Amino acid sequence: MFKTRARRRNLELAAVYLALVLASAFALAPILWGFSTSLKTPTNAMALPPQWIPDPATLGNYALVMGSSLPRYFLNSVIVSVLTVLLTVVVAALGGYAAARFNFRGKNPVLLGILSTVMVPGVVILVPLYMIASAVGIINTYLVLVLVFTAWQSPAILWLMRGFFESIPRDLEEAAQTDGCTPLGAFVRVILPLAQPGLAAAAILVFVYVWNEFIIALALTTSDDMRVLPVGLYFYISAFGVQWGQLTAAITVAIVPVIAVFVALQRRFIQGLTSGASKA
Amino acid sequence: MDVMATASTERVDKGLGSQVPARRKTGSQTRFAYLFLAPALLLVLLVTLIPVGYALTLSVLSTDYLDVVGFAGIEHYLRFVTESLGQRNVLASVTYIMGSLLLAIPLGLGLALLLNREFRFRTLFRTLLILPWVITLVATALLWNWLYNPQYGPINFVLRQLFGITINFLSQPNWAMFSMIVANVWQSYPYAMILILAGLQTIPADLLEAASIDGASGWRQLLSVKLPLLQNHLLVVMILLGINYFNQVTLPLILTGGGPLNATHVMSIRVYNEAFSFYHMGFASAVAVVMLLFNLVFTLIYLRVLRRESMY
Repeated sequence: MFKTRARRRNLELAAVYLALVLASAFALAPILWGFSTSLKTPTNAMALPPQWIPDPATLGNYALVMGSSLPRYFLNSVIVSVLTVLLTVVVAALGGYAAARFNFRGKNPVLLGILSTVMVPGVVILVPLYMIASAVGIINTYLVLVLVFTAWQSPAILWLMRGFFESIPRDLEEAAQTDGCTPLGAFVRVILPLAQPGLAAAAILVFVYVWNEFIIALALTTSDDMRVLPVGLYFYISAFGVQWGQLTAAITVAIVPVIAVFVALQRRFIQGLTSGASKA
Repeated sequence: MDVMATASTERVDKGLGSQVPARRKTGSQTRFAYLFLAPALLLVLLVTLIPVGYALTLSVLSTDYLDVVGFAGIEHYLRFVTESLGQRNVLASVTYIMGSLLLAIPLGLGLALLLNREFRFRTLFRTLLILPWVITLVATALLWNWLYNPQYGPINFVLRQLFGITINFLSQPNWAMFSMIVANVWQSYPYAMILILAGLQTIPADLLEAASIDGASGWRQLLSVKLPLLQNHLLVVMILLGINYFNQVTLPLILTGGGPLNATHVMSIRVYNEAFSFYHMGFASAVAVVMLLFNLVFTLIYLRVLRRESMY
């Protein structure tokens, strides 16, 4: 009786592992197939039967894409992501703090008003943003991308930060204020250091979003030198016919940073995600 | 250390603080609160609220390229609801959402149930399983395009070897929607998985223990304890994913562009094409406003379900 139960448990565990291995294979196969292609010579990329493992493996495609506009796209992505993360965290932390700590007139309508903009999808305001940005003359700049992304991410992140601030005991900044700190001083010197885990979760969520965003960046940039990585990848198809070796090399360059950030900081990422702060 | 010290002095002073008249305190708090909220308010106003107002306005105007040339009233809306392409767009969106949910939710649920157990390498598996959701949709679309390639793609290679057939996944009207859904499910099931896993972890352990002591098998526990408790949570996840699918432009734009023969011409692609391929800004805005209304309805349902959930 005891023996059969143990055996049953082992069988069950084996089934769990089998299912997870199969699912992981499904998750990884497209990425690995792309990576494999990126290491092939142009002829081998179109070999039949397909080469599963590149032979010979070559970095030729990477050399080629590094000589194209890809480094520029990469730089643009870094600039836009970093600026947006910084600005969003500042804006959302300030707002989230006010929401967590202050009682003020119009609190509920104002907060609900900000939060309700989460439900406006990008595709709905794509046309107006394009027309306004054209009229104001800031289309095709870092400024417009950073402003739009920040405005988009701020409401959800503000909500996330509010939760984090509420979990910090009130006494601390009341004490600081009694000691002569202004509310802003108390916020910066006492609360922000304590809210670091929350700030980190917010920063990662925003980074992943901005690094991957495509449609707004496509609509609001008009010249090749302002394109961010996803937009650059999209134009690779038309620019070169489809050179799959080069294209998959460019894809690899575009997705490695975000995978690295995710793997390193996934606990915070999941924490932020499951508290409801994400915008489609 | 300093913080702790000031915190304890503060407790002594607390009696004094409360003697400040309540109204004056709220007054100064209001000033600071709006100062703190000003950047967020300003951004939301400029980047979301004004554009929404602009979209509403444009939707009742006639436009020529970027210029307004007249008043159209409800003409654009009427056109969208009466023309056959408009109906096709709505149908394609519904098919896309339902088809994706039908695959992503069971997959996400199944994997969440597996990951909710204790075993070695759990974190590793979780990390690997989330990866598709972390990379950009543009990469997803391009990678699946390459997998689906009729001549050199591995899927068609296997099909040829086993059955001697080749399927043009993205250019045959019967296959295009299905192929797009598969790519979409690949990238979005992790989101369902993480959210459902978070829900599973809120089920009290003693409840499952009690069921186990009463002799309930694993399946029995799943059907009689976990799923009923998760029902509402699953509904929340479905709505979140559904909204996400509905508003998506990237995947359909890159994989099929709405074709072949409008088989995958979802509403979001209609907005994009009308605006940026044909520069029909007025009509595009009207379709966008219809999409916004759908979003509003989904969100209201979502809030309702969420409120019900928090009552447990």
